Amino acid sequence: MTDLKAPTSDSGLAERAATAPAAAGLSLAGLARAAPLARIPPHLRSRGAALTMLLLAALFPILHPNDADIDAAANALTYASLALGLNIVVGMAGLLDLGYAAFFAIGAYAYGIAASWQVTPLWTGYWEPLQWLGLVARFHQAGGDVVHFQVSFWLMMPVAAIVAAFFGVLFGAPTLRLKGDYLAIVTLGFGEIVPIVVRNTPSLTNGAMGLNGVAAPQLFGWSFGIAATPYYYVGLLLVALLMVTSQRLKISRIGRAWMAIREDEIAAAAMGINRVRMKLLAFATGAAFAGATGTLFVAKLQTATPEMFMFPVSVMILVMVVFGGVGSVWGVVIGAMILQLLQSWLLQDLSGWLNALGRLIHSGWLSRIQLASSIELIFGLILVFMMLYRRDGLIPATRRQRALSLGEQHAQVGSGGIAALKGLGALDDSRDGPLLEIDNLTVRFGGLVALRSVSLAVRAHSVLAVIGPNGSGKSTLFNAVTGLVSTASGQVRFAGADITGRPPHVVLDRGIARTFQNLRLFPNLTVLENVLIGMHARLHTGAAGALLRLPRTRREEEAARERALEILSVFGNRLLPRVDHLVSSLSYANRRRVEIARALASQPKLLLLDEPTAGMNPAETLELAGQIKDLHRLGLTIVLIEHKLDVVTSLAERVIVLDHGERIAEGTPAEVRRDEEVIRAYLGRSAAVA
Amino acid sequence: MPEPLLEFRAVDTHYGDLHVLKAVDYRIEAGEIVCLLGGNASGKSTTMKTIMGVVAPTSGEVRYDGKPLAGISVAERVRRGIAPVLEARRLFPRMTVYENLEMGAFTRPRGPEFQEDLERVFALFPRVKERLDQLGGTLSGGEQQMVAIGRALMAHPKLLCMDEPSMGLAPIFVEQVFDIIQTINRQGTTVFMVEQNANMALQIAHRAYVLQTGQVVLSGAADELRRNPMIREAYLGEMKVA
Repeated sequence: MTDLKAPTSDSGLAERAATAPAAAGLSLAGLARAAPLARIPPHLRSRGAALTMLLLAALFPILHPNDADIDAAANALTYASLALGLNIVVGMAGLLDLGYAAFFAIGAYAYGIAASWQVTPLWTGYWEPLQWLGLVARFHQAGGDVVHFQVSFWLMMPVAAIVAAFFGVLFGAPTLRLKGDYLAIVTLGFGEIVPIVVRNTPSLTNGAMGLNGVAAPQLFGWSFGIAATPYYYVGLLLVALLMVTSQRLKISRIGRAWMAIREDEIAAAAMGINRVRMKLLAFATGAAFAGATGTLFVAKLQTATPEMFMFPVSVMILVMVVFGGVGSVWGVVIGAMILQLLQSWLLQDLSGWLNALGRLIHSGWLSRIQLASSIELIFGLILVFMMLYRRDGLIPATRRQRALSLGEQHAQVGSGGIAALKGLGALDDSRDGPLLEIDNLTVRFGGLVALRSVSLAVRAHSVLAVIGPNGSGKSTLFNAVTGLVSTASGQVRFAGADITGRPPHVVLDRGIARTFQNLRLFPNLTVLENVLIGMHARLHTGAAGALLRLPRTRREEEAARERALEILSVFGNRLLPRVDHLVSSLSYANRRRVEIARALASQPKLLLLDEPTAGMNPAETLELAGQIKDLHRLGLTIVLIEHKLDVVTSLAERVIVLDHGERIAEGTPAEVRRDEEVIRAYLGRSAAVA
Repeated sequence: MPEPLLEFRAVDTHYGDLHVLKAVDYRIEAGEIVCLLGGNASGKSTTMKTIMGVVAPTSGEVRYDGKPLAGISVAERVRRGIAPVLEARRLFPRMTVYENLEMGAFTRPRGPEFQEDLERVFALFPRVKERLDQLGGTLSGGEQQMVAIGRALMAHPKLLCMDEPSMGLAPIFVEQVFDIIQTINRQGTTVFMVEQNANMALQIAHRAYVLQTGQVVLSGAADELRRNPMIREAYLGEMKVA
């Protein structure tokens, strides 16, 4: 190990941040390393690797023209696209879905019905426009003409995706308030319901017998028929398309919002993320992937039965995601391919070899063994071993960052200091009256009154401290203002507008950002990602923008990154060398700093700090107090919960003291310190004289 | 000279490449309150984890009660009389206060001693007795800290290892917590604590160690350290905010 900084290409950003926070362009010196591959910029390198993979996959049927093997590979590609879809729901948004095969079924039956003889209504004139479009045909029959649906495969693929997305939203909506195991149980329910409905609506689906005679896709008049190769290529293109989609979503504002929800839902809401919309978007996107895949699947088999979409299929897709690496786009594709090919290639061969061995050594048991029939057992074992020894999967979604050497950790710290931070605390100063007004606010938890008729006003550009014993309702006050707990009575007004009971993301959008007493960061995301999520409400990229990556989207992303580095430089050298580190690897004090940076990223007018210096030693406390003072000087209005009295005294103009949910005193720090009631309830004798 | 209750002999620890503790020596005599000061990431919490056996030293030796601790499980260490009070309290949030206290005595047979220990905890913390049926997670921060200390005492420890007992507490609770630590010590329990509130900690401690980037840079009697200019500046920090 060397103390000299030899940044890997991954830490290019950190390098750049450390040298010149606002400078654009990669530092070339940081890339020059011994290995020639490393001289290629990382994005080109990964693009090159992806193209090589695609080329090899495209050549496979030509190099190995064995229909059974190509068929197995085509099936594996189908599962890879399913795994990509489930990865959006489970891996990115963290919503455990045990009934994912339902959407696969919906897509499959959507095409199956639209391209078979299952549903044949009597012909009427209304069908003529559709006939003209080529979607249906008029079929002459003895008992009167009937309609034959013959919608094109290429049209049905996106349509089935949309239909499945609709059901994704429909099934997702009732689960929005559920988390973890509860969510899993409800999705399990939906996963069971769909095949049962399919089985019991024979007029539409031919019930348990299954749909038959689904038309094969056609391309310029040439039918795909039953050879595997054309399906293989469609599967390959589908997987490539879904991978690009997943990857682009993942690195966009949308993907960050999903990951924020996965990491900490409450914090995500407090950072301005509309949880309802984002979760439904995740369900819809995941379901759309499955819907499109279902079309391909049923077209290839030209039949569909309810048994193809039962619980074991959902579980298998989940196993593929976990095996490949939850949240990792390449991981889940490779995981799905390996598991599927293991089943159809390796196990067959292995069984053959074992049987031959059995005949050789006259072991009857060994000569009859069929490993493929114990596939569930083998999957189970793989899963157990993965969880024990490689929990992040084959290709983990997050790469580990090299820890800073002690030398780097303690390199000159510099208090940072902030000369200017654009747009901070900018207010419409023409308006009179306090920025935040709380009127007779009462909050109850069951029988417990957490806040009782508390009123207070925060003047614009001032600092107010809220103190009081533990459990006196200070954090509840913050939670009530930011919409995390509901109020029993009273009113909260911000900049003149009533915001009582508005959801957290709306409150943030209005300009109130906060930190949490027990830190609610997104631990498995990097420092930079945490701050970028704080910017969510101020950025505009939607799902479409993320997919297309238009110049506007790129510019917005670039500006957001620069702004994030600018905000992180508030803390001098504390965070800048660590922008690419996972937050979970940071010290407690640095996590506190990240949380403040994340709150600042939303360009708040009012900042609520809940015990910002807890867990810091006096020197660090002093440093942070200076930084908070700087923020105030730049015009930010601050409300602060704090136990360290010297911090309160040096920062706050006014202090409010809470005890048992009631306001017991208000005044300047000096006045409050002398207040008998405050000494009794909070300070104690020795702290009061200190 | 008799062996101290707890001793670190040139202990090194690593997290992967990161060298955390560097040839650290501590001697904690029976009956003492010893305080460990230091900035963030200086190795304070790692010290606590090394004592409990959560982190194993890469070299050097940790000795307790005259015997080496190497290879001894966390549970066995608790059974031998080392009890932790964890950073940020870590109560079992969905168990009642009584159940939390019961968990503290998990390693010991249930007998008359259990009742005695319970009475001792109630005597120290009358508030805890009032809240026996409440869930741990619904207590206020100060009450949680009392239960956390009470839980550790239920293991009937010889050595109490406390990680930042005053963190996030109101001044009035901080004062109470330090009073109680002193009382517990007078009743015969040795205390080794990590604390950021150096001012209060040095008032009740007998001795202290100062850790900086994994090395002990200063140690001595608490009174002396309180007068030491370096300590005054770095840890007692007279707050001056421009």
